[in-house]
Amino acid sequence: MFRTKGLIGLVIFAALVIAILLIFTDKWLESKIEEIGTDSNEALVEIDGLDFSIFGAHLKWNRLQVTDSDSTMLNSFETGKCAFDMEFFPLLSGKVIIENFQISGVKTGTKRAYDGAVKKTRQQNTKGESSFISGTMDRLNSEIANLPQYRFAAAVTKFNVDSLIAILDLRSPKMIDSVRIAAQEKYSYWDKQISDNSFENDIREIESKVQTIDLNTVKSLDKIPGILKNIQQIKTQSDSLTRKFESTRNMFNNDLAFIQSSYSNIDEWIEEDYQRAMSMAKLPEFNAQSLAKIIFGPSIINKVNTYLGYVETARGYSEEFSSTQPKEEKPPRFKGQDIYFYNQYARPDFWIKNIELSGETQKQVKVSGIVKDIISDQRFINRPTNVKIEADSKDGIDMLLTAVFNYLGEKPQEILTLNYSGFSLNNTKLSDSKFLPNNIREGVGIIDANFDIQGSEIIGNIGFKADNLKFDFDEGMKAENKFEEIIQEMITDIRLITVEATIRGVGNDLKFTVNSNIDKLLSDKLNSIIGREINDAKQKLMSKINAEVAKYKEAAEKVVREKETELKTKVEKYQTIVQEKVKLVEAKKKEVEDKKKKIEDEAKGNMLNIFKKP
Amino acid sequence: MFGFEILAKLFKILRSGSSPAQIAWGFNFGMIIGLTPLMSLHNLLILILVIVFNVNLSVVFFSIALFSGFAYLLDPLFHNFGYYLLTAPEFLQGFYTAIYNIPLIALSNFNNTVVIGSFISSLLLLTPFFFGVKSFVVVYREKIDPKLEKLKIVKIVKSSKIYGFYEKIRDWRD
Repeated sequence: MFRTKGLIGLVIFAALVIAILLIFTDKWLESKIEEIGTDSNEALVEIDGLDFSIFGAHLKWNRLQVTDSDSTMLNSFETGKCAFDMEFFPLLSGKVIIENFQISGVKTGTKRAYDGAVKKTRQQNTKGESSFISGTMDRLNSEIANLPQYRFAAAVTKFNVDSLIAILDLRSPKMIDSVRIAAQEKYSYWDKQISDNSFENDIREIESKVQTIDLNTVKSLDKIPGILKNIQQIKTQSDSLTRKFESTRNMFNNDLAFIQSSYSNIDEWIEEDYQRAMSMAKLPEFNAQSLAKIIFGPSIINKVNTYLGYVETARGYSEEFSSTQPKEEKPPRFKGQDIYFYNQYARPDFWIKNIELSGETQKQVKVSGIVKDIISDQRFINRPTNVKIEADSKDGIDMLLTAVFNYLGEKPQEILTLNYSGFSLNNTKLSDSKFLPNNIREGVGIIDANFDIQGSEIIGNIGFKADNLKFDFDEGMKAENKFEEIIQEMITDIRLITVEATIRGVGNDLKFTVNSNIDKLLSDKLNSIIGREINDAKQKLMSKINAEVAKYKEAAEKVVREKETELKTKVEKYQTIVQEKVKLVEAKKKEVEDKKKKIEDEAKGNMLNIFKKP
Repeated sequence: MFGFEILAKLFKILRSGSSPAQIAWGFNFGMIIGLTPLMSLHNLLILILVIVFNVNLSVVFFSIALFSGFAYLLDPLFHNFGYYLLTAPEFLQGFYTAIYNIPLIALSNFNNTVVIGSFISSLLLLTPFFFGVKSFVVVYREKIDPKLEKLKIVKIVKSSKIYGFYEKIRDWRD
């Protein structure tokens, strides 16, 4: 049943494994730590001279280098010789417990022998509260991406009215032309109506009827009733003509009003075209806020996002270990998902109880600090992770960084404060923006920053002051355009720059504001000079649109002007004739009545004379 | 050639001197190693069992190769099953929490969904596979193999130059 050769083979195999472990564990562990560190740092992490004793549960190394992921030819920091002991028995359960970890010889900003850049492969944690952090980072990045800095200068200098008009496809000429055509149609209709109508015939008929009545031939009363009846008929006809004319005139006036109303829209249509052209041209409007963001926003966001990246990592781990019912993930094949089981009486999976660090930067600034309780699950010890790092130098540099990572409550909370003063700004740049391109020759900086992130709420304030400033103006940095000219002119006299940035956000609602004392100075200057150019560009655009539209407007105006006057004259002429004929009929009627009275009077006289004669 | 060699090897195993139980155990051990993630503590134990006990090694390797392919296909199912096992049964939570803190067992990575899902699946398949394979070997040796030997195609293959060449290489390797 047993394989004797197999047993011997197994013993040899086990001996080989132990030998290999003893020989190669250090190398394997070194490369494993480097791999994990590089992955989380997104830049090379290197350990030299790692020595691990499995039975002594002791680890030490000679040097650790952590590359600055933003500047990969520099190390964020490096350490000298470090050593720590782990508790042995927890190791058998895969738990790493470190009592005291002393990191000495810490140096920051050291130069690297070769580039520490790596291909970025780390995926962002997008679950739970930590997704708020990555969301906030994305929103802050988009704040910067959406700043008008790239079109700021180009908008005015590359502004081409002709190409813009070509793309724009003006709408007003077509609409004006349609007004002209509609007016022409209406005028033609009325021209025909007035020419073809029966006013002339009616007028002539009335006139001839009136003229046929010759009262001189009427000598007796018996003809008068017939004539009066005739006159009444003519009057009825003239009244009918008056009504018909009034009706026609009203309709004509309505159509004229309609044409006038359409015509009055022309200016609105031109204005609409102008507004569309303005929105397509994207001519910038300057304000202090956008300028401050353009100048200081990217570097602030860059620093804030670095900090938020650490917070996100810490939250990611805390969520992984604190969740009672972990959400099912979709891991890569053969990787699976680790489910964590919490037992308050057991040991945590990972715990560095105390880290003491000490060292010196390149500029002889002494750094010391304590990090307490880096732990996989804070519930085991019921206290948060605390960080306190101090730095000072003879030159007056003073720094205090404190951070609290608290994952004990219902909502995760991270609090960070940084007070950093007296640091030199010599040979540095305040911003990568082309609006502040000069190096600082001399200057001293102060930073006061605090962040409080609780659950999905972030409150952050960053204050920066650069004092005793003197900028470099070397020969090779001649202003290439108006913008640079303005900036250089302005910063010549600046000795103090203050920047106040605030970040406020709840959930998806994020507000990022930046204020600086140079905002006002810059925006006033820019508005006074560039504002003029923008106004010129706007005028140019308006003139071009007006020129494009003018021929159509002129043609429409001409139609309205000429035809309207012509038709109005015709209508007025007919109105006068109709009124004259009405008066003529009235006069004739009166004449007939007078004749009747005269005949009656004569008849009465004759009768009286007959009775007077003996 | 490789496929032919595997097939020939399989027939050779079925007709070898190993007992049906040895072949069935080899198949099952190979199945566990093949279905579960290779670098797991339980696989070290299986490997020790394979080396110590007189199971058919060729079957073990054949089975590992065969079930590794299935493991790739079934990985999402193992993950789902493992997630269910580790989170759903309330009564097991205390047990899991206890063994999570027991030295060495904690190193087994049992709290990984794919590890526990595939391991429990292979344990569930163990009994039916053991008896299934064992019965198949018996039936093959008693009924199928004599019939296969009499088949014309087998005779033709055996008398072919390629088979002769293969036998020479096999003998030379052995």
